[in-house]
Amino acid sequence: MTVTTTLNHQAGKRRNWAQYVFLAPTAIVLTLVVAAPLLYSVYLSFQTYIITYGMGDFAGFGNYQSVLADDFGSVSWVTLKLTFLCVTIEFFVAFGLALLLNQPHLPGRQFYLIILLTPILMTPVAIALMFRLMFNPSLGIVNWLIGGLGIPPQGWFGDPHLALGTVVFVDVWTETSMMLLMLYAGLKSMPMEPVEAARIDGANRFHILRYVVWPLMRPVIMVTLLIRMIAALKSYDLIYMLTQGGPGKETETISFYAYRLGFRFLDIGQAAAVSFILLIVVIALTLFLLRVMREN
Amino acid sequence: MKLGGLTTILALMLGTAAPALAAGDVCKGSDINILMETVPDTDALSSIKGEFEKAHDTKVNIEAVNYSLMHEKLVPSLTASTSSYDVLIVDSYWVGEFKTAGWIQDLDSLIARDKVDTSVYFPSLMALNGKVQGKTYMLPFWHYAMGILYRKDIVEDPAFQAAYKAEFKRDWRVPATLEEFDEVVKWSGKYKNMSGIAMAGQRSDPVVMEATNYLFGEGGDFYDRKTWKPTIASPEAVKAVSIYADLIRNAAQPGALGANFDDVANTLKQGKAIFAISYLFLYPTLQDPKDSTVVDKMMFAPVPGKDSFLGAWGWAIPSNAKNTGCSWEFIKWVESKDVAYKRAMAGGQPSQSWIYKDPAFIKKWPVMAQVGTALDHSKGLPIMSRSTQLVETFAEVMGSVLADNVAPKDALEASEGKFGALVKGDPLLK
Repeated sequence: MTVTTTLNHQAGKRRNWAQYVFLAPTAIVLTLVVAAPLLYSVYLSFQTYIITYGMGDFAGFGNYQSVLADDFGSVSWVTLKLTFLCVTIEFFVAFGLALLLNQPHLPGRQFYLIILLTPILMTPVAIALMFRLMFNPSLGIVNWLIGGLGIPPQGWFGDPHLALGTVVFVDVWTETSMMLLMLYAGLKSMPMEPVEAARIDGANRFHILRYVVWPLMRPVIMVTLLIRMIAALKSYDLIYMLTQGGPGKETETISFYAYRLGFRFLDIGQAAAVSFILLIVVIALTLFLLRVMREN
Repeated sequence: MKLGGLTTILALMLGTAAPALAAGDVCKGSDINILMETVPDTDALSSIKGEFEKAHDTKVNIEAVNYSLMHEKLVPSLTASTSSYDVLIVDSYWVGEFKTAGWIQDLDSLIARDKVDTSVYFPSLMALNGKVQGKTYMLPFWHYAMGILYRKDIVEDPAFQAAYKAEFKRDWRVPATLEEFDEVVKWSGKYKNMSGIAMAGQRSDPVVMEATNYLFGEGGDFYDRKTWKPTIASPEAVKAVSIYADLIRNAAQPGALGANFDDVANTLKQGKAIFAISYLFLYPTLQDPKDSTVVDKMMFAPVPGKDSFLGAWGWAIPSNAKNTGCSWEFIKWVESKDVAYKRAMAGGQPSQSWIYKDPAFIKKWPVMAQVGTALDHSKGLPIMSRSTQLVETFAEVMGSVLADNVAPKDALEASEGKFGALVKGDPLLK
């Protein structure tokens, strides 16, 4: 009895060690590529560090205070507007298209799908350049088209009243296909029995959508919204290519602000502080949405 | 005697061959990587770099990118242990930053060793993109003098001149002050039913480069350059920013707030604007019949008012260069007289003053005759460690005026603290 227990105990120990050995490479790599840079950026956010002058003194919460007192409020507001508009419009467009594509006996489904998913295959830089040209006030086709309707040429990315809306338009064109793909996959994997049962019970299309499809799709929708919202909160590439945050600060997002502090002002301490605040906001939102998902 | 003569010939042959061999050796096996802007001077260099490659058994890789990408590509390379770039071209407002950060090498010993003549450069360019605190860190490459680019075919039209006289009660003249420029641009745009001016209000570099001409033209500046106290909220600065805002709102092409200098060039090339305060280096593209409708229709004049903004690029060697000898060999070659002349004839903006006295050069590029005047009445941004950030800060001011409609006086006064913080503790200003 004692011998068996001892042997089991030793075997358990060996298993424990084996687990650690097998986990070690992953843990080491994650520590090096994720945890270490993250911790270093936290450390930098508490330092006075302007690249031109080199590492300075411990700044305490000075960098956080500076950015919060400076532009963080305005760039957060722009980021929230952009995120809300993009995610909302993209969701409704993508969900509508996914429902249309999910119609039984739809001819040419593969063709539509390929066309609608084309933006995923393109790099954001190529997309931005394409739209910069299309919306170019002098050369662009958009002003030429509206000119045919008697509307005077617009500044689009250079007009404070139109710039954010134009960026949202480009983002919707670019990102809707990813949402479409996820929602369409969700619809395809949805059990059809409840839909058929509702139809037999006399439910119309709206009722099926409202009381059957929507509840069944809710987890997929939540994940889709969560992923898209986190990405939208970090919007940077399109802003960089299309407007550089301008005109004025009309399209400057938190990520672009962090970039500007880091790469234009070379103030790494403040840039790290902004990035870290953004990280906290994203984590908080993620936890909130996960909680909502669990409750549903 | 015969032996003596033979020895002399041999000595001469060896003497002339030795530097070539040394130069060849120093670059052999080393590629030269340079980050450059997509401008005519880069094209001019690209067309002749083969000569250096052939003579020195090396390869010159030019990475030409849009200006806005350059600084952020350079900084990580310069902070690394070894630079990705072997030769740098340094914009005039990066000079202080690069010097303070220790990213560029002092060239004085190399210049003295190889007896490079730096007196060939315009003194204003040498001061701007050559020497910092008495030491030479760069050799001027090309300048971006700015001035009025205008449609001479329109303003010299008798009907236009008659209408101008009726409106302003004087004969036609190129505006001498900014107020006059403002009036004339707005009127002429309405008269011709086109944009009076092509402007580049995009953040950050385009709007700052353009608006700084207005600031300097009115006699304003960012700082008192002796005490380094901010003077950005001076009455001159307020007037300059007000005129700039007035023009962009009332006379510029649609979308000017989102435009850069390429857009200015395109607007001019399509014949959609009469005036621009922009770069002289755009001139060769305006003269290109392949994509310009204004060939031989444009003229250049100095910025109205006191001074204009002057920028320039200089050749430098990064402190972390892989092969300093080869980098220096390239700079010597590219700034040698014949190569500088070839670049100039190909559409570059020469920094060596003697080229502007060359009849063939002036015959090919007549507007270049104006450069001397433009350089005499121009100045650069202050050489300070954070001048790149000065550009960003001024761009913020311009953005709040142009996009958020903040009154120029309020926006400029609100920025004084930021401008003050930029010079605090700057070792270059002591």
